[in-house]
Amino acid sequence: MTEEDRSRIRELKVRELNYALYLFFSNKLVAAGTVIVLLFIGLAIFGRLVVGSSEPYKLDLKNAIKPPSSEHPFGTDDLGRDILRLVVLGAGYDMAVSIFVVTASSTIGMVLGAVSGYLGGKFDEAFMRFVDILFAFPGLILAMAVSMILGKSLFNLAISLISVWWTGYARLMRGQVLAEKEKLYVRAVKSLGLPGYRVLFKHILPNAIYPLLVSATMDIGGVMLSAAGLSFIGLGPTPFEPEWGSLVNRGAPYLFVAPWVMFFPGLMILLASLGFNLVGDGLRDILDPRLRR
Amino acid sequence: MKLYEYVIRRLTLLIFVLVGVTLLTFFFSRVLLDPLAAYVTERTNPRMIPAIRRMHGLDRPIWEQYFFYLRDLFTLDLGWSKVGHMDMIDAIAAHFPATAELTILAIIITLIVGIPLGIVSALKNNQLADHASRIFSLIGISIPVFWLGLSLQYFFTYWVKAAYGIPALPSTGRYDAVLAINTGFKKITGFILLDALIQGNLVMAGDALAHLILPAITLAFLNIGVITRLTRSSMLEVLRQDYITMAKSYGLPQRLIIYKYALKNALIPVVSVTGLMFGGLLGGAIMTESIFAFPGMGWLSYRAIVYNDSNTVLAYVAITAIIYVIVNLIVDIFYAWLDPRIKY
Repeated sequence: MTEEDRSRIRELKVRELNYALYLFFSNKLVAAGTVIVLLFIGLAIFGRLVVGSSEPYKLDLKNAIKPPSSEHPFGTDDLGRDILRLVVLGAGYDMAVSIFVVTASSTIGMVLGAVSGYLGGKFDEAFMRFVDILFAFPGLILAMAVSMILGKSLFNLAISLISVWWTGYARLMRGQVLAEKEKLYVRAVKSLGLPGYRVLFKHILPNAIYPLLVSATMDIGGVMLSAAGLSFIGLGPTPFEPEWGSLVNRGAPYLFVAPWVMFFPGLMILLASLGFNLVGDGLRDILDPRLRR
Repeated sequence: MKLYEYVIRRLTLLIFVLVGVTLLTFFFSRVLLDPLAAYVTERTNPRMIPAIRRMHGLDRPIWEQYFFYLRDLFTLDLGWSKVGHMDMIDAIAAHFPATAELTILAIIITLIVGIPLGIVSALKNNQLADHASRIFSLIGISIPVFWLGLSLQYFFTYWVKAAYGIPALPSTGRYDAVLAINTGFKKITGFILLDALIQGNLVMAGDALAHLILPAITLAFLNIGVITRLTRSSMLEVLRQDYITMAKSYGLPQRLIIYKYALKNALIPVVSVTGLMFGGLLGGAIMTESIFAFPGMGWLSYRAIVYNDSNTVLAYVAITAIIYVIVNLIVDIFYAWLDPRIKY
């Protein structure tokens, strides 16, 4: 490959990237999604600096279940805690859990699926049957069982979601690697005598990873909903961690007296997962050339 | 491969998957957790514990216990449900009709709303109606079920009455027990709506429907978005095909082309996804049922979680997985039969 070829390839890559970026930001829904996601990430990182993270569970029973006012814009809960403050503190938990779950499960799924597809044979067969078995459970229900066994905590909740979620990525990655490993360039690098792991991780993986990245981005919103849902039914954090799902759960008994207690945390879950889903939806449109028109 | 060969291959695979599923639930319930917990309370005499262990075969080698576990699953002897205060299988049998009723109604609502929205979206591709339906379905997949359920409950069982005096919908349960006694209602199948209609008890049927409607809407809302997007993309795919162009060139009316020729083929993937949804929902919608205190399988397992009754949770997991696998199989076979182009 001459220097000229290289610069030509670079130029094509840049043009493709620019085109993709242009498509990405020319779509209003995607732009809105990006703004929402950035806002929530900002809220998760800097929010606690503004509201102060000390004593999020300080009681103020005189001010219990007060409706939204200028002093408490989102009202107060049954313990007199300011809901706006809890919601801001909760952003960190929800964002961290969903991003952690998606990152961990896509990494696990990527490595296992790629190795399984590359090795093929008996190992691949056995591995895929194992994945089939995990797929036989309706998703959340298996996560529920795992979380129940591990014990109720936010970390175990994340582990249980990972234990369910990685299988989809493993299947996806295996299919990609199977399609990729027969191509000419793979045979070429193999003939150079490179060890298997280098062929797989250095040459095949970069070409096979995009569908997995898209799928992972699109899943963040769904994972956030699942995590909040499990935590709503009581498998999540302790009462001292203001995770949004558990805040909704705390508000549920006061539904007819103080609907704002459950309303605002739930609204946050809706907005955050909507943001991720808008971005994911747009990403899929851009990367699927058939829809580019 | 012929269809029957495919069916046989799938059935063989089914046995394999079922063995795997039972191994996994067995591992959860007997290895990671102590199944003795279901039979011991704080008032059990500690000296009785070895005897209780022996009685339920829990002192046997672990592989022997697995065969007992399988036998118990086959004979539907799943042990004792603490939260149900009855044998597990009775608890499940008592809660299953509620879930089935709710699932069927939710699926009907999903299809009635989702498919027309999808068609409109495909026909008005990239116009206002398409964008609106896109936003609607994105909200549908982004909304937390439990929050939607609570909000609907607030508005339709409290707010409409408080603000406008419109008769409110009931917020919890399956039927009004007082009404049932007054109208002489009797349970036959466990499906309240069906039972009421069989007995010609229209008051009771209306009451059952009023109890069902909010949970069903909650459940349907999530799936409407999925069905709308699927119908849209599959309709767009079909409309691009040659036979549609040919039908157009013959000058056939637009309505005929869309509803007679295009829709049939466009709905094939929708049928398959609806089947999967059905299988997933039959296991019970834990959040929806717990919010509306709707006594189905989901509600049972929700209470089992709250009260740390792992025996019930795992029996529930095993049963739902088995239902799910079997429904998936039926859907796949039906799909293969429906669409002869599919190679298996």
